[in-house]
Amino acid sequence: MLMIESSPTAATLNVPMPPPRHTESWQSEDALIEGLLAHDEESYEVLVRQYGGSMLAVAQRFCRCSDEAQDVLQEALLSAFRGIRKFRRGSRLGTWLHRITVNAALMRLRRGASRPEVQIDELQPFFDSAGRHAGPVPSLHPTSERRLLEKETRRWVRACIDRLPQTLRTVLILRDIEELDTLQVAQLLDVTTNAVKIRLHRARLALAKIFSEEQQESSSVSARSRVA
Amino acid sequence: MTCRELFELLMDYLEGALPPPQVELVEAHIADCDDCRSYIGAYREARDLVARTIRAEQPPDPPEELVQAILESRRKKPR
Repeated sequence: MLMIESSPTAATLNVPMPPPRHTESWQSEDALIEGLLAHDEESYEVLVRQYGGSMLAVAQRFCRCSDEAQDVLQEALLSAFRGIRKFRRGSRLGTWLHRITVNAALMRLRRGASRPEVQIDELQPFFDSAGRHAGPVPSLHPTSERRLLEKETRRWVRACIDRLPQTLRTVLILRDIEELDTLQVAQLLDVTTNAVKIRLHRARLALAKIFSEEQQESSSVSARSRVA
Repeated sequence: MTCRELFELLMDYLEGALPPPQVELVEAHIADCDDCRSYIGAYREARDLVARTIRAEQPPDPPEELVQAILESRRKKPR
């Protein structure tokens, strides 16, 4: 039986992943790693239960369907079990598992059936011959704190992100959600840091337009339903 | 400065990577141009919306069948 110790805080974990669930049953990282190295069955289960939720959340951000995210979680955890000897003491287990999950998700995206790339040009700013904006300029109302916490808002944001072409979507998730830095993203995707910056910028510009269009569409639907 | 010229510098401006004289030009244009102000406001709002909704999400509990399937797979694989 492993010793039960206090739970780590998000600050001490220092990873984008939220702190593990089931903190009441938290075992120290060292004890958990010792257990995994000794092929202790209970330690495997503790790892899955304490980190599986956070890892699944990461997988769900990359994958467009729940089955695919579950496959990514399974691949990531099996890879972690196999690679536990490579885990560097002194690093955070959460950080290591986060990186493994991101890698598994990226592998899955690369293997997956190629989706037709969405046309991005119409989601970028365009200008007339005098260099002034031509066409609609996005305008977004700030979202209230209450709405930010609603499931419906999260679903809407996810659906908007899913409209981005895969190359931009991946960079946006890695930088703005998983909070990796530009160099880390460039290394993961095997592209230059400048390419990462440009893709991220294009993704945010496109997303501003998508959110704006969606917000206007939903305002006009509400207005129409009030009239009806 | 035109709107097109501003957008050519926008990425560096938002990253704080522009030299001060260009920052002044960009900010003077933004102060005068409703369209660019609106666009940049939407850009920032979009970035915040992503961070504050998806990043703040509570992680789900993996389904019990999945937990068992993962543990079972591990048991079946050679060490």
